[in-house]
Amino acid sequence: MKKLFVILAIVLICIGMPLFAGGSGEKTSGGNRIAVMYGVGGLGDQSFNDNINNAIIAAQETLDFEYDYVEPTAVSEFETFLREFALSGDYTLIISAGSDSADALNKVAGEFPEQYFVLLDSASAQDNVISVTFKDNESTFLAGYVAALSSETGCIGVIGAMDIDVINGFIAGWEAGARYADPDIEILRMYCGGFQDPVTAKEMALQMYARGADIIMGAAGGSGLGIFQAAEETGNYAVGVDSNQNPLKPATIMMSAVRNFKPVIYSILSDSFDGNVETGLRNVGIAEGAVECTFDGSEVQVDQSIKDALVTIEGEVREGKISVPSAL
Amino acid sequence: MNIKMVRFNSRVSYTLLSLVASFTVCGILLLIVGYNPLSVYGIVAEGSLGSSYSIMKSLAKATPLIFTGLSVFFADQAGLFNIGAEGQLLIGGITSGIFAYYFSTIGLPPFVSIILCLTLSFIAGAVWGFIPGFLKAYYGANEFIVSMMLNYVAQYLCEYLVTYPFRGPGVTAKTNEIPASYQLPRFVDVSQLNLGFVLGILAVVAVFLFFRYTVSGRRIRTMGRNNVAAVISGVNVRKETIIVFLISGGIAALAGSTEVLGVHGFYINDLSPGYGFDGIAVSVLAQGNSFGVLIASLLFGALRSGGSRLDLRSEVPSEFIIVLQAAVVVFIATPRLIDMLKIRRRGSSKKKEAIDG
Repeated sequence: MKKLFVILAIVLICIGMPLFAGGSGEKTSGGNRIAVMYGVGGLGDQSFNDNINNAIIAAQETLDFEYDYVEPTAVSEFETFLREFALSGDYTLIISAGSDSADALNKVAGEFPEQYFVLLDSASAQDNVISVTFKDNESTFLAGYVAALSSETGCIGVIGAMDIDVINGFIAGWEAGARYADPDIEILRMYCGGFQDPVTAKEMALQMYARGADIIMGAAGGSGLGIFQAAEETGNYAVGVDSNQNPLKPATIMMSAVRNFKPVIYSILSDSFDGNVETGLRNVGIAEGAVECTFDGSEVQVDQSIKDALVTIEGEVREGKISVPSAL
Repeated sequence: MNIKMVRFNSRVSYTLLSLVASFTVCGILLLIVGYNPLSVYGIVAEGSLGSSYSIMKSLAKATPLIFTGLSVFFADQAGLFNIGAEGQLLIGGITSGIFAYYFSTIGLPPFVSIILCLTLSFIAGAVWGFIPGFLKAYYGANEFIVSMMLNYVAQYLCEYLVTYPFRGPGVTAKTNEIPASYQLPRFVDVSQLNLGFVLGILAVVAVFLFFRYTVSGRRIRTMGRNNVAAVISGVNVRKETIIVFLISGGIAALAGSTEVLGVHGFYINDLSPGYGFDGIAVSVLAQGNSFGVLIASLLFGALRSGGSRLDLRSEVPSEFIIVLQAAVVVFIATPRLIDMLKIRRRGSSKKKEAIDG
């Protein structure tokens, strides 16, 4: 009988508590509302997805809107989530983060011509889609340039997530920058197979360091965290991408090739809420302040002469004097 | 009431109690974190059963789980562990993706193409299942570990195939899109629910009949109950082990095949968000009953479908569903916990049994 009482008590608490606590998990709606579908790595990747999240939260300080998001666990789920967002009809904008969602987005955007979508990191030909692409090759060009000049072994590496266009853009810039600084530099390149696989990325990085590379850049989203660990364990250096990853391991991460989502996201959101949705492609780079190579927060010593040279090179890229390849 | 009926009833009540217990425990967890469990469960229910669209979505999500659950269940009946359903699913998926497109280019009739693709996927999955079965039968390798490791082999093999030789147009790594007529027909345009669900039910019935009425099925069950007794009574355990893994692998492959032919229309890298592993939970929940697999898949499918609504409509992350599923498995897999709750009831039910019997 005692047990029955315990069970009854628990059930009562379950039903009764919320009346007092009032902690309903439900959100309220009203006004502008946006939905974001993050990439497979999800929030907490300290990179691409977190970067977008931060930009949106920053925009929320001045703009008034509600923000819903999902974190799919597989690429195959993208289409369902996007369709559900669109079906609900609740959203001013539906933001799809990551180039691997492009196919799903194009399909769903075609089905809902009245709904506006934003595609980050890839271009879409649909009339109701705002696409944003970043000239990451410009920032990785600068990072590759610095890495080649700083390398003591004459060998650097790069680990990409997958053999796809966006990632290869990062790699193309990195390799071109390194060769620009030192035509004879040896560059190792591997793909770890995913954006959320730090274990594999770490193994690959350990291999590269063993083969003589002393600076490795990760263009692999959340997998990049594995590269930083490998660098720390072997006493070598790594280069971050997307967000400023320098503070994660200040003694190990030399610099980060950063994307700055804030200005782009802010302008898209505020325009759309004002009713001026401008679809089409926005390809942004150093000139627009959307990408840069930053040493902020890193404790790794980089020669002042290299930093000075970087400023010159950066200016030349901005003015278009150096054209950086965007594909391998 | 005969004894069989009592046994069945106690099993059902036991499963139901486990479900209630896990929902309660997770409700308490939600309370501790500061959410209203009733409203959270309400959102889940709304997301899984609230409209005809969400019901169809739940059924669609259940479809791959029926196959992977049935696959694990099948091996479990023989006392074997197939953790490789995930890999077998991928192999089945890519086989269908490649061949369905090929068949459409050579102009095979759609109906024939679909049947051929399902068959080829089954065979490919069976081949993938053969490896752990064979190694277990002849070299005593642990099928648990071999089948699990083969998941990674399958994953990377498929990733290679879809990234390079069989890559279709588009930015994502996926195969060429299969023309609509060569896909499994959908019941309604907007929903991903397709004929694969019906095939899943047919598979459940087939497995039920196999174990109930065929000699081979009986042999496999004997083997699962008592391996030594099976050997003594003349069952060729090696042969049966291989057969079990062939069939188990084939069934899991159908999960991938129906996803490709019915849901996506192409094989896409990263096809499965863990359907193969959910299959293990489904099999545990099924409690040794083929139709239990169907019911457990429907439950997990509904939870998955409701989970995505959680992400949208509440602050509770959809990962909560994984916690809930895990709690269900824990309660089912540890009978003592439920026995503790049932001690009081047992006395009275025994009396009843004596009277009825």
